[in-house]
Amino acid sequence: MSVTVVLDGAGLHAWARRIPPRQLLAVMEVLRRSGAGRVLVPSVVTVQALTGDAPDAPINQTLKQVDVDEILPLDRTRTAARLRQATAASAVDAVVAEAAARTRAAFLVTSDPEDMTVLLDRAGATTQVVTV
Amino acid sequence: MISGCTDASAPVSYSSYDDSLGPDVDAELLDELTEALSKTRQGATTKPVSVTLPTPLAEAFRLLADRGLIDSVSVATTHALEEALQAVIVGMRLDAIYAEHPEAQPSEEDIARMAERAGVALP
Repeated sequence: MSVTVVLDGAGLHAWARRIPPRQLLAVMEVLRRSGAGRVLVPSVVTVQALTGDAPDAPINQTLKQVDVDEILPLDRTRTAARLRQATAASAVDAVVAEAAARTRAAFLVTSDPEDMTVLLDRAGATTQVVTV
Repeated sequence: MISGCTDASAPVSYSSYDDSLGPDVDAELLDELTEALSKTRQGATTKPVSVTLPTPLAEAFRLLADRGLIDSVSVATTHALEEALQAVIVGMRLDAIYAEHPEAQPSEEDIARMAERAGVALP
């Protein structure tokens, strides 16, 4: 079984840490033991995750080890916009949630579980939100 | 190298893996695998290779390709291998973390609980 893990900006930062949080390690163990999977990062999250400065090096290295989704066509932004309607979620959060729902991700790793849960519920996704 | 900082929440640095990945982690191999995965995802050139598959599997995928349900057997195979490589790279990263910080390793119960949450049946 293939396991997809979607990271938002905080999730990306967490995975780039010297010692990632235990719950994220457990998520990645599930992926490893499944024998196949994707660690997906919509490229828009790097707007929040990167600073454009030297401290970005570990994040940039981590980005090489994950699947950075650099394509954001209009149909996906329309879906994200619909998910975000009447919520407090940011546009970036909506894009991340849309990616998780579209790819039927098993996990979404985030520091904003409330907004992400609302967005995923609106998308009808069964993705599990893991907080870091 | 994973930097010498001691702050557990600090980001990891990969300029060299020499000491910090632990004795069982092949840093050079991890670098090569990471580079291969990155280049593949950026649309690397392709080359024909011969692989041996169980006949029913090969025929099933040829049927799917013929009916337009998958782009091609090559694309499906690439996708599967890419996902397998991702799992290996994640595993090597986990082993590196555990080699340096065994206390960070989640328990079997933690892992089983996480898998159950997502409805993932672990082998």
